[in-house]
Amino acid sequence: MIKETRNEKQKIKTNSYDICIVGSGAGAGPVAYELSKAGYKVVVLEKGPWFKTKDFTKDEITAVRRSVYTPNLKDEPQVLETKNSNGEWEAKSNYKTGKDFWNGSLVGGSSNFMSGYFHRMKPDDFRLLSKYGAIKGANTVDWPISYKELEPYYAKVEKVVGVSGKVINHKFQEERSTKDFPYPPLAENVISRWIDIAADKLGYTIAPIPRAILSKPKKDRSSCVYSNYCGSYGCASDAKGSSRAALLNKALKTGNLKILANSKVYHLETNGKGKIRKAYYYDSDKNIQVIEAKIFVIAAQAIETSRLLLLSKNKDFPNGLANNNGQVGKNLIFSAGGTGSGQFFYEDLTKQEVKELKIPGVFVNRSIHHWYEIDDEKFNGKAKGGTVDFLFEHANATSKAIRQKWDDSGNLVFGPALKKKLKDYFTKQRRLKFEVFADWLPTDDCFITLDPKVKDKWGDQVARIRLGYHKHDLKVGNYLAKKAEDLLQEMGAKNINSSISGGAPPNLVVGGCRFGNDPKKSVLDKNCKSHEVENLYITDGSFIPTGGSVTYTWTIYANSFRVAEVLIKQIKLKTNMSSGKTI
Amino acid sequence: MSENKFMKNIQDKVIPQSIKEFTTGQVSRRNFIRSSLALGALSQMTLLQSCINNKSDYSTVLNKKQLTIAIAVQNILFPKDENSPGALDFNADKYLLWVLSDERIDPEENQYVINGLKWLDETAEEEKNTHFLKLSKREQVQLVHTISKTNWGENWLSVVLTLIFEAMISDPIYGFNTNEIGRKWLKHDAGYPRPTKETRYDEIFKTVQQNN
Repeated sequence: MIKETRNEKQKIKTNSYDICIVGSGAGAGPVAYELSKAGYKVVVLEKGPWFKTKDFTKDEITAVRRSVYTPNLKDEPQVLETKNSNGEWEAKSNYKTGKDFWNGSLVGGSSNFMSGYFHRMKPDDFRLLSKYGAIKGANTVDWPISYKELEPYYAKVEKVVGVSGKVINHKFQEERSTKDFPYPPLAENVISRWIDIAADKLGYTIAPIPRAILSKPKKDRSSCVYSNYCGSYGCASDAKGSSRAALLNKALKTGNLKILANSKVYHLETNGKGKIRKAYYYDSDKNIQVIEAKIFVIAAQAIETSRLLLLSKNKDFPNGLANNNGQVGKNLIFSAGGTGSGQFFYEDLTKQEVKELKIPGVFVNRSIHHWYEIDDEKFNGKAKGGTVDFLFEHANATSKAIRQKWDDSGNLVFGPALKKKLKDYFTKQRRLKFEVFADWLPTDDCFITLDPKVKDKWGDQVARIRLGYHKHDLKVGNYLAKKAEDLLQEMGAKNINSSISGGAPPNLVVGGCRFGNDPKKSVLDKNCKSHEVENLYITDGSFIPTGGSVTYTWTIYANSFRVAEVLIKQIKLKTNMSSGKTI
Repeated sequence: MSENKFMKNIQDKVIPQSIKEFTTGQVSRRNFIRSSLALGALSQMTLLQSCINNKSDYSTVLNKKQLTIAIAVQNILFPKDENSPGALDFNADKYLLWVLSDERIDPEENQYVINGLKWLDETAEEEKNTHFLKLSKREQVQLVHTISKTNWGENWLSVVLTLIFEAMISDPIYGFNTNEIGRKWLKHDAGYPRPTKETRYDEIFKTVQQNN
């Protein structure tokens, strides 16, 4: 095998741990935290560097204008398959197209850069097939667990990671084991009140959005400083509940966790009996290193997790590790929907209203839940809908300026005309955006394979991602966008618009290794253990078989805490059995 | 100039795919710049690659003529007037040189910026039978308007504008937007913490390597 040939050429140092975790984001953090606290020796192998809190600033050039937190696409491209104008699938390396599906290659992963809009999935998301029935062309299924089984872990995330918010009762409010959030809501802009008033007039069900951002200090983490630069930026106060700030930093204090940054795992080796023995990785000097462990947990984010399994072929798993049933990489899902916005011009408002509207940093934090279930003849009755989150346009000034380069006809504007447009945009209005979240139905046209030709800087095949979507996604997205536009209209916004498309949002990606009770149709069992490999667990979003209509991070965190508990129980069971003790 | 000749030259003006898609708004998070080690084997990289190793001398990235054309174009795209700063007030020219000398930026994309300067001058010769810098200010503006209606010209000017915007918004620590003149004009509040000499873009990679 290729990997073994490589190994023979180099002298390899092997280290041994109880648990080896590949990746360090939201799927990895809870396992590292719980297992190291329980006294087990844990190693985290993270492909990217280790940015500490002190290294994060609000510098637009570093955070969003250059690829500092993600790999450069020349070194680590991915191949994207999209349909061309003739309706044929066409594959292109994203080194040439620039469509970047990396979300954060560093300790803590993309959780460092999330905005922390935290939604639980709702009970019906766990039984999409039985509740709403099959949709032709969609691989809809029920989850092997219910909302009730995951609920205690949602509650745990609120407490351990830190979620701020306020529970209000409404038709789609999920059942909770605790009365309210452990942290009060973050400070809000006056526009939140305007939304509430308009929603009330329209009879919309609207609720505050919980945020994985501390509204008051939590031990060594400070509360939010309302910097006005949250999403896409690392948090300089540790208020944001990234895996790094909320979990890994605490886990390190146990002395049982070792984090190896700049360590890119490329192969998992099995022992010929369906068990992983070793993880092979490249260190920062491109030397091959090896980790031995009893249990391996993969949480490299959906695309890279499937890729690693597909790369880890051997004679027992000729199609890739845990892939004798051909399910690895299948049913990749994103979040369907799109965005929209409306502008509030200062000349239309009172001085006091302008003063309050312009206050930077404080949040909008409002979400429409009214159509989480649609009951409309356009859908022949009841159908799964989604949510709409409201937020201000990001403070990134360069991005705002770039959007002023074109006039309404799409012609480039420059010179004095551009300067006037810029000045007006920056000083005479504020834009309120909305983001529509609907189910991205799993289909046979959205999956991950290995590209046969394109390789990364280490010489390994890169992921090829087919980005097909179901047209039903657009129908739901447009339905929700219209409702959001109506709300903006009621608020008095101008230049209201929305855009719903089948474009895959790279930062909202899950699936590829769905969990389920049928070993022929799923990669993982209900505890996220591989059906085929005894000591392989996957705890990032790969397990998710249907996506719900909300952002994923809270569910990934919650599930990872659930799996961590399973792991601890199983290790204890095995330890006691081997020592002759009874449980 | 005959139409056919002009068409032929347009076809010769290769726009990197990433920039094409960027300017049509299909790329969200990423700007035209993509980090990259300067290891490309493209033949047209000779000038740039020979210069980027000498970071202390930005002037080697562009020759005097190229730089003068670049400055003229920046002034047309973002002119100074009595009430507002122009591109040179926040040192967009020096910023351009800094970007072109950045080893992490894809050489193909930086070369495209340089090629555009040449293409503009060629268009001046084709259209006006003289070099761009020999044209009157009014003629230069007219020519920039003319190329803005072409595929390559619109793309290229759009990229040059993006770099002007980056300079205008950049933190003073980079040495271009001194006294935050661009930010103040737009009444833009930057976030805190600001970058430091350890955390600015061109030092952050070195800084985080020390964390391991």
